[in-house]
Amino acid sequence: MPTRSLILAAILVLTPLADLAQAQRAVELPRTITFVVPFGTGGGVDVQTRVVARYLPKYLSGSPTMIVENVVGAGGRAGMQRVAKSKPDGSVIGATYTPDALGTQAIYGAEAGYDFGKFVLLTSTYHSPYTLSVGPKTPYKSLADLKGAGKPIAFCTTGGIDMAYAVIAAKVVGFPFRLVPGYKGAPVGTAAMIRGDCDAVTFGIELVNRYLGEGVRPLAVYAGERDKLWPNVPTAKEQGHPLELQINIVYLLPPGASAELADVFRDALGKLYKEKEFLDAIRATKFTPTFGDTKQTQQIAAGLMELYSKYAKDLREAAAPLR
Amino acid sequence: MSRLRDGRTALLIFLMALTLYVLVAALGYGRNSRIFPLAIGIPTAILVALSLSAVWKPGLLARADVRFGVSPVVEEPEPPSATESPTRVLGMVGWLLLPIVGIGLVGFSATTPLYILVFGRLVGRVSWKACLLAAIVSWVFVVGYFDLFMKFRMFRGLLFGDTFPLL
Amino acid sequence: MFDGIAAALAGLADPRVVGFVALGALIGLIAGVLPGLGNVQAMAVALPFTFGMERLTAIYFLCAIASSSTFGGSVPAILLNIPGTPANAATTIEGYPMARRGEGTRALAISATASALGGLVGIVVLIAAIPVVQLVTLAFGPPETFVLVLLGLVTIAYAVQRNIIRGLLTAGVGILLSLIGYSSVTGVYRFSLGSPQYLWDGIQDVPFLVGVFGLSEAIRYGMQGGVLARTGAIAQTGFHGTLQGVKDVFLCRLTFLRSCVVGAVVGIAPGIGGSVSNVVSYAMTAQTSRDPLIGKGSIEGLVAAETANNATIGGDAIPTLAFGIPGSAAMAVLLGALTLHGVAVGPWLMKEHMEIVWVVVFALVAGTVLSCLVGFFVARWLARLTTIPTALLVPVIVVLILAGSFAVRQNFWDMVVTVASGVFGYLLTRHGFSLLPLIIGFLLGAPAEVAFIQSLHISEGSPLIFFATPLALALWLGVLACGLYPLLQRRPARGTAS
Repeated sequence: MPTRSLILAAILVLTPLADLAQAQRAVELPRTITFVVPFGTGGGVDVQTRVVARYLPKYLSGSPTMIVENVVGAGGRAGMQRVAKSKPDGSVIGATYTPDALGTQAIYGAEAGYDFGKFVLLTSTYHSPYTLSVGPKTPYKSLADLKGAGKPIAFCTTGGIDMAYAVIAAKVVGFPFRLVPGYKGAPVGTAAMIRGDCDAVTFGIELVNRYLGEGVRPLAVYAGERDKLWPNVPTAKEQGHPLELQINIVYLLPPGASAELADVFRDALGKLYKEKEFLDAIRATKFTPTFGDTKQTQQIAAGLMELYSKYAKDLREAAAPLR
Repeated sequence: MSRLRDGRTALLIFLMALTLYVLVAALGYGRNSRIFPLAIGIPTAILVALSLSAVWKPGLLARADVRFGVSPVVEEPEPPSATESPTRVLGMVGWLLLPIVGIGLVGFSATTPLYILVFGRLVGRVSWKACLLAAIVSWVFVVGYFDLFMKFRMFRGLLFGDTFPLL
Repeated sequence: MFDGIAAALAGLADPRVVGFVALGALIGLIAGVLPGLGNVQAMAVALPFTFGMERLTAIYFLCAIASSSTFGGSVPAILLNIPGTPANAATTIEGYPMARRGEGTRALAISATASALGGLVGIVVLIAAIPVVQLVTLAFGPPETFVLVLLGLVTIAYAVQRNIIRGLLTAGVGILLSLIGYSSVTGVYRFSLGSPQYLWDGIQDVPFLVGVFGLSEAIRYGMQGGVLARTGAIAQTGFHGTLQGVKDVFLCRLTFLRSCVVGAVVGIAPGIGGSVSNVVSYAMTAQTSRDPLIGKGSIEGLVAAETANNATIGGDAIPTLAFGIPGSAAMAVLLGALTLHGVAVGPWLMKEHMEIVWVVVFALVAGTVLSCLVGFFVARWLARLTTIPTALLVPVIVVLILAGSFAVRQNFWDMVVTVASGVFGYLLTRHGFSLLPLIIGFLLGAPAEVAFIQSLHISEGSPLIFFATPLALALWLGVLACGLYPLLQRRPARGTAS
């Protein structure tokens, strides 16, 4: 009977909602929740997290006020330490780049002031592959050209993730390289390459894409398959070097946060990343709104830890002559 | 000995200690990391040494120093008056440290008006009315503007749950 | 190039937009007046409020904040010897002595006029550079930046004119202090003084400057008592003082023009901002000026300082709009705002969103002019601050300085640095050491090193890179001119022991 079907459908639909509402009620959320971003205003994490902070409250019971606080300093460590020391009651959520947080810990160990493994990971977003691009004044057209260049390929780097990835890629592909560090941000490094300070850069695809009109030539994308943004650019894998390097933003809770609390935020973020208006708002900022659930996020983190561990010696050797 | 106790000598000794620290530390760094510190630190140390030597041999500096013209950006200081005796200087430094301790313990909100009231009354013997007005205006700025409007989350103090960041 | 002007101007015809521009100018002005705060913090706080705004309105609002704080910072610099922002450090040298002799109104009017006109010239430079903005931005690489910074360091040659040994010693100390912290170009954390983390980012500009200038003066005021204005009254009160101040700027045309050039050039080089142009322009003017009051309340010196720091604002926007490279910290926040409002920043901004560029131009003009107009009208009231008993001023100044210092990055230890810097600054001036070479060294030391080492990495060790481009060679000529001028102008004379 239609009425019975309707009632059954209603029960099926409403029960999980009721469960969630009950779970959220069981977990009392603070009235104000702060996203702590360990970087300055205007960067990728900051911009995307501000959009999240604007749209997420309606998916949480009580519609808490969500604000973004930039806690900069010590190369990102200050912000991560703030999250690590915060009460695990839902009042603070950390937002950072996974490779950055793990890289810092890999270099500084206990002195980093936090243990990434103790954070409670929620979800991740902005899974964007890194790329290798060369400047307009260079003759290279493929990764093989770099191997046959006959001289070290100079990379303009910021000294952060891009430097680590440039070193790892050079080792995997097998071309000699040297580093020109100290550029304050990817746009500055890319402009420096255009000017001729160096031969190549290793930055995220969406950022480098903005400079293609200035003669920047992408040689490879470090991903499993070609990116929609650059359908004509082969991956490193297609060129014989199966290397996947990406950046992603992770949202995490302080150590000790309960599983129930984490689930509340995970559910909310999961729903948020299906909302069209929110996704359009992220796209309007020219970032691609991908979504990784907790398991995927944990896998990414584990993969990065393994990567840094495997190339630790190469990273140290690459940094030594700069000192 | 009196020359050693002179404030200027003490300052020069401090500057020498700072410069020597930089030089010694720089020698332990790699090539790129030590070029600039050494290039600047060595001449600075020599200049400090010259200045220190002049404490005992004023003529030495006169022979070394060369001046260009009379246009005074750097003017000779007026000799410190009696109001700036070492004791009074130490006292004022104490007054600067007091708000730090207060903010550390009880935060900006409580320290701001209390400090102004105490300073105004004890040091300046200013009227209660003027002190209160200054205290209220400052408190409104610190709490109203910095904390509530600009949302800087001003330090609340150890006694109210805040902690110091890592050193 | 003129596409988008109509759309940009249409915004200004909307009373709501005008209202936001006025509000932004007021917020920036107040942020500048409070020591330690500045346009960066004000813009960062205002950013979330722009979510609900239409895109062009948001940019008008934020740019108005960006351009108005520098003049605001001159108010405490002139009246209390405390730079409200790092870009007002040199303003204290001439502005404060003027205030002490009762000419605070006149000094504020000079600052307002020089700021407004300097800011306008900087923006005219921005407009003129639009067709070649990418070429201009790319012209400044690490070698050119190094020579430019060297030009700034060479101005220490003037600043130490009277006492070479003491001056160079202080400059050396300033440079060494600037090298503390993690070096992004070498990857080494240096001179940590045992601190595993706090000094990672080095000694911060704002806590150091407000301490060295502001708290050192607070120590002095606290001991001296009385009121700040020596005459005990404000001379040239009322509108006369304001009018005189306006006239003064027009009487220093050459200084004004030179300072505009310095400000605009410094602004174009990314990462070097108003704080550098302020001190460099001042030191250059002091070098060539025949004014006997230089260092003791010279109008010419004040014009130089306050023109350059505002002319820089237009220059800062050039790399920002051309390449998405923030020319200053404030421009970095603006870039974030543009991104949040769906504008892709980068080389295509000028190709696809020329209206945004014009909005930035008009908003910078509006913010500068509005804040200076406010300054004109309130100058005589503000100048009365110098008649308040120091026993009340001192604790208020101390508290506001500590609050501003803390607000920079909400780090308690920054306040400790401020107090330590205050004591250090006081002891230096008490024993005859000038603060100007210390500040020049502190502001320029680290950028000089970064540019130097980066250049050697690019050239694989060859020093010829510093002479490889016409721009670099032109800057070397400037270095020689600035460095040799004091030697050629006056003969060396042996003096008595300092």
